[in-house]
Amino acid sequence: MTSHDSASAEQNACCNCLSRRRFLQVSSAGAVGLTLADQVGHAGEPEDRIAAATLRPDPHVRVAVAVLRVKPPYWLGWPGTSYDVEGWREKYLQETRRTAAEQHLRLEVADAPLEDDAAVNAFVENLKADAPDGVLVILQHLGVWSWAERIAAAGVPTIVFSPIGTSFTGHIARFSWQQGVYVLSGLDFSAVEQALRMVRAKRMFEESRVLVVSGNQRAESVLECLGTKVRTIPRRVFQEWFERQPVTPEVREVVARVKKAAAKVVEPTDRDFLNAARAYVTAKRLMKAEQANALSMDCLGMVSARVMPTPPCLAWSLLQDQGVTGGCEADLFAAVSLMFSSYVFDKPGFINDPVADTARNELVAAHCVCGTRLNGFDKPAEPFILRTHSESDVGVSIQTLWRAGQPVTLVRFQNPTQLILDTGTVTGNVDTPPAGGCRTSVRIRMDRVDDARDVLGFHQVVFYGNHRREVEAFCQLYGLKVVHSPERHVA
Amino acid sequence: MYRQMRAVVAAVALTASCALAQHSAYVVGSPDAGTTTVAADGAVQENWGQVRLVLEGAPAATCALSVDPVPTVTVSSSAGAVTLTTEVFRAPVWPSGVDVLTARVRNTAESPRTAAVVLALPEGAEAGERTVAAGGRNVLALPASLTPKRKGRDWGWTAGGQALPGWAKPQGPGDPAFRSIRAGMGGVPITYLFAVPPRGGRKVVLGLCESHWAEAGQRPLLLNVEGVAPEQVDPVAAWGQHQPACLLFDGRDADGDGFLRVSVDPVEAAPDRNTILNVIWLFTPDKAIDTAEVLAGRLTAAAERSVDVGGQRDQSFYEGGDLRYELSLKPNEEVRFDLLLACSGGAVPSPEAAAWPAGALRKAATDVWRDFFAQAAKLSVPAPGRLTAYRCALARTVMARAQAEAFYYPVEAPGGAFSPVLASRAAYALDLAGLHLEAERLVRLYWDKPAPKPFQGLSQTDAGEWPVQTDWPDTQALALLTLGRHAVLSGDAGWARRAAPAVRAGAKWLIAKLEEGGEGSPLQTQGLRAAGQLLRLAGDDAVPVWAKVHALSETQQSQHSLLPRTYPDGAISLREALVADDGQTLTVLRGASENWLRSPGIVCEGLPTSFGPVSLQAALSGDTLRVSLQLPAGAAVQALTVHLPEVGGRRPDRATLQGKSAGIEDGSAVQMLNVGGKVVLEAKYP
Repeated sequence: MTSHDSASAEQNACCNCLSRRRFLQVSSAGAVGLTLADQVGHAGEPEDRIAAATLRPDPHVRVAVAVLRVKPPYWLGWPGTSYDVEGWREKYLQETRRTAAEQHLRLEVADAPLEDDAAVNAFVENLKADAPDGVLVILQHLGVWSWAERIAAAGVPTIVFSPIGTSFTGHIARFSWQQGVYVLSGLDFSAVEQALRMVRAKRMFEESRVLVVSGNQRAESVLECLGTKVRTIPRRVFQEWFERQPVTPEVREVVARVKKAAAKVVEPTDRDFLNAARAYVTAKRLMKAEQANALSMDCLGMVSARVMPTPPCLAWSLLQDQGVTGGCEADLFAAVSLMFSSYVFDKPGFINDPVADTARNELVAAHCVCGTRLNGFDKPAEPFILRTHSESDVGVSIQTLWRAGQPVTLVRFQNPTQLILDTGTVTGNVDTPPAGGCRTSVRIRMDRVDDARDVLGFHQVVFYGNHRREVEAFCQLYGLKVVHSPERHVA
Repeated sequence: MYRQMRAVVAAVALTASCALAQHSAYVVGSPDAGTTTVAADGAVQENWGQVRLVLEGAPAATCALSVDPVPTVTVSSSAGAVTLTTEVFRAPVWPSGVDVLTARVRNTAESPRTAAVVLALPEGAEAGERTVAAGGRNVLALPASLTPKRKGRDWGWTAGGQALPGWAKPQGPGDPAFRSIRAGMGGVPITYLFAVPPRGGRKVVLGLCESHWAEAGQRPLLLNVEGVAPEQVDPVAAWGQHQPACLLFDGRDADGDGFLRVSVDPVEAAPDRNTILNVIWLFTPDKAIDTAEVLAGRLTAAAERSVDVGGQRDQSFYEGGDLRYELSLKPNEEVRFDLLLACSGGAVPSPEAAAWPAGALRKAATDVWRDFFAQAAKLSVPAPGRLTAYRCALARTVMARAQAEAFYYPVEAPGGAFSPVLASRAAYALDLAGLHLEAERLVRLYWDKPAPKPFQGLSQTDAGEWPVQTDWPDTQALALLTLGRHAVLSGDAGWARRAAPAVRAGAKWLIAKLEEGGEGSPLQTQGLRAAGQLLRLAGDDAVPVWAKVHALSETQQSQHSLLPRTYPDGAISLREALVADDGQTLTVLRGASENWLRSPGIVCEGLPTSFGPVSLQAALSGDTLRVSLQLPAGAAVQALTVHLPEVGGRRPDRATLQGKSAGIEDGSAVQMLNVGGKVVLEAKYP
């Protein structure tokens, strides 16, 4: 309300103070004359625009930071007398602050470096009382590892940055494998950035709700370890919302934008495009109404039952590129795996059906939903072609062309506490035709797995980069089990 | 006809009130996950039986419900200096939820004390090491930190999940015991103990038959027989799907405890880590064993033990009955432990496999309920009991509701029948609280056709009639009222347009009946008025409806509802005590008491009304009551009444409105017409 509105309303109210008799006369006369249309809003009307980015969780993340060292100046012993203790402390804290600003983390930096038992004990007590989401410990001396272990024992996920010169292998041999701990021994501060991203990602999981559109029942539960909420809603709800979704200006804009960005359009018709964009807008509205940050839908069931004129492939791809998970076939743990690549690495993942090309001993990962910003949400997209959904030949599906030579990671949650992790390298793309199956079809030569037939899992999620060690680190920090495909075939 | 109908209505109302008065238990639950009843003595009633934690020597327990935001029942008792406090709530853990019973045993004395806590179990429940099974499923997870006093048997399972009789489909002739299994869901080992002479040996034959996987490599198993090196086996790779097979081990009581331990453990990297086991045979060491003969069942009679794992003759290692925990408590020491109870037909997560640290179960429940209440309009009153009743009523509308294919109706308890009164009151309560999407789900049954199979009998007929229900004779008026109120309070014109055809037909049917004769009832007038409001929102002037409302209004003065009390009234009554709305007059603080106005006072934001959202702040400061209202802009509210409660037995003697003197009607209210925007009222008490 503007100040003018407010003033006139107040004046109005004051002038209308009245006697009981007059009050009864007027209220009785107005008994049936309400003008509701003028008085109420239009909650949930289809023309409300929703920015997909607002569906991505943006949690409050608190990270405690401490620098551990013995009291300088140093004399002999690593890192050595020549080591610029103050200079590097400032440099690393500055880098930490920059990273925190980029990732929207709230840092709680210890006032001064921790240089004795008392200071460490006080810091540990604070950790226990405040329970931040993570703690970053920066080491500046070889002799402070017992303090780092004491901090980790407080039970807060602990990242230990040990610049070269502050540890030998012996210092970390046991501690670095401990659950709840991630030790980074090196000089590359980008590893610390990635570690902090893990803390943020865990909070994103905790703040997320996955909407599973499937079956005929409504239900809600929470995944252990990750803390992610799972809300199942009947499949027909999406269908009904879709049917009520008109072709709005936003729908037309989506179509125009997608067509413009594509390398070419092969099969889809104008009707396919409008329906696909309607599915996109419908998905955003439904997610907002259900307080959801990700969704997965029994899409194949809906198309095969012909209750929807389009699968949601394009919609899901558009969401993926904006950091919002759209998962296929109501596969909850595939959706969780997509969220994993999105939250931990800021990259869209590619859910796929695995096929073994036995002649080339390669894995072919195929599906009809694929993001294009495979290099990262803020990086240039890969080229893509607009196709129909292969199995039904309706709708719009994106065929993203993956870059040969690109290392990739494959992740698949088997349950809330265990995931399959493998890596490989892209060797090329498979076209449909000559192949059948799905529109985006990527060849991957597996690392460490002798035979492509032995790759574990179904609906694994593939994303750019060899992130094997980071995935393992995340799992170690948060108590998830990691399973790899067998390196050698066991008869 | 209508006089007769009102008599029936009054009788129904009386019955419902009596039923409510006798209701002495509380319910906990989670959205769409059903409810669990907790009796006043703390007994938790699950569909598999009743569980109760009792402090020995404690004479009686006190019981209380809180909803902050998780519905939680707290039961307290004491025996001398030792107190037992339990909390029961539903944790919505994936996939099917679990009830949590948290216990705190505290020694309030400055000297050591001993105490005994008894876990009373239902008859037939079988307790293992960490779980209790009933009806073939694990229904209770026991605390790891405490060991009960109990006796062991000669043999039986101590861990290992769920009995699944008839799960396997063994092909060919063989011992019928192969048909049943135990399954250690989530990678839980299946463990059995057999009494043997200390250091004694036995020939152990394990029978396996994999009937889920057809491909090799999915579920390898690690077989551990005491005294023998573990052996990994992949039943499908070794013998194929549905093929029963036997493996022979020369077991020995290696640790000399007088028991031979047999377990099936998961293989760490296996895609499927759920363990299975079909049969165990134990033979004396001198017996010559041909596994083919064992498989065929021809040596079963000769076995010292033959265990139909997961079948009829299977048993827990421990004797049945209640579990007694003896605690030695230091001065002022508190011992805390959690029990997990299966609910809604599910099983408890395996304590060995689950990763729910302390506090995480409560957090899961908090996250879900926090998000539910976050959608509601803010309503804060310093009246804890009323606020709990308000939240509890809202929570119950979503905890227990029948549902199919996005059609819903609220029920008193899972499996309950449709009640048009409950459906109407629940939807109204949700709308008043601003939970419009939840309300919309409940009213769908009235306007959308075809309803899914279980609900078809409740749908409106083609003639526009809603079938009369046994507990309410005037379903027609109630349906119209329910739909119209939702339209008015949600202001959702899109929804109103979808519901309009059903409302039009329903109103037409009712008008035709009224024109057959009779004066009509107040509820019918309300229903038709609500129908007219909905149709107007949908863009239909609905002239015949309004004409009938006018005609009825002239003959009726009473607008009081005769609806019987139902649990949503706990929410409706508080809301209407603060801000009530009959479509013509907005009434504020009608039911407020002096205590509600004490610091921090009443704070409400965005309460839905037929005039639009209304915010209210009201608090006493010294001898002044300040009421601040934010109404929809313009002259949105036709008539406004602000009640001024007595303070210290006194009525206000003067008031100002927007800083100017205002009259006080009957010493207790200030009234205004055609008002909107911000309204500030101050009343002085002598």
